[in-house]
Amino acid sequence: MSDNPDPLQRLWQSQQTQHPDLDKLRRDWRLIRYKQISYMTLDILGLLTGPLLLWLMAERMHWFEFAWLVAIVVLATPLTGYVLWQRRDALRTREIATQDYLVLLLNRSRRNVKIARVTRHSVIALVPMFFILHAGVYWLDAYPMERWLNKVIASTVILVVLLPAMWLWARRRERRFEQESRQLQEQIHEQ
Amino acid sequence: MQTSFEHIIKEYDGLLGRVAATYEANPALQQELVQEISLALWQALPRFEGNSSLKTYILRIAHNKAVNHIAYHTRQPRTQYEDGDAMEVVAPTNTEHQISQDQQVAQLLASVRRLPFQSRQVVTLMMEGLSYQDIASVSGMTVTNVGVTLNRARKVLMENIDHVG
Repeated sequence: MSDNPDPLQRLWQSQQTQHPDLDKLRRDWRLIRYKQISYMTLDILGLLTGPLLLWLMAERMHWFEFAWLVAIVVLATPLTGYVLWQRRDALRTREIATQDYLVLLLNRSRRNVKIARVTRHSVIALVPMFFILHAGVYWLDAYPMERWLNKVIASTVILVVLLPAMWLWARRRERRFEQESRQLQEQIHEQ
Repeated sequence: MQTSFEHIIKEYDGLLGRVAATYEANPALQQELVQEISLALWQALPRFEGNSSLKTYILRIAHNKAVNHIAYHTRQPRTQYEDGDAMEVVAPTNTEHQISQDQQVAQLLASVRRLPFQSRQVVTLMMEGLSYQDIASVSGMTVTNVGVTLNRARKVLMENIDHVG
């Protein structure tokens, strides 16, 4: 801007810059829409799966298994709701002042640390929960021994393969968000 | 894509590029940030109510998106490619004056990126021509604090750039 009297402003605005790629923007926009629809679908499916399973399999299950599954659904529903609420919170907040936005990001990052920690503990809690399920079914003599053993083996395989992977994933997220929280904290207090 | 959005992007693309350059030195990531800011703008523009100027609104969105970008890259380890030497976008030059100006721009950008976060935001908003009041509304600082921070940051920048004026 040649009519700009401030030398810094003039120099700043004379820099060569990168420009948005409009074709890529259109593609990214479509991708975002698909992602939003997919996440919403997954969230709804996630919420419906438990009750649906209960409804479909109620007659084939022993009452103790049914009660156990109800307990799992009851425990998981508030957590799923909390995660959903977090995601909604992310959409409408970009227009606030940067200082407020930083505080919001910091709070969100801290909540993500908590969610990762809860996930990590939930994964560990699944071990005694499965133990209670199989012990209860055995003690109540709900199935023939062979069928009970098959169920125990299937659960053990799932637990051995799935739980360590989920635990490690949650721990990695926890560490990343802790690092992010520290960085945001520094940014907020930078003068 | 709405035509009005395309017009806005075309009108303000230099400004968006400068915000990206403020926060990201790596050219590939700078381009990525320009795209991210533009997308955030596309999502936010329908909610613009005219409580500030469009430029102030765009700068608020852009700076907040850049803050997000920094936070994201703090928790994602960068690849070797992304960690490559920072190179500014430079147009072909052929005059001595142009070369000297390019050097000054490079010095200015390097100095801006060394500033603490708040000072960096305030001084770049000033260089985009925003008033103290608008800078305060974008950054969330008081007008007095904006003045103090700006004077300090300006002094640092002027000391670091050769013969600006």
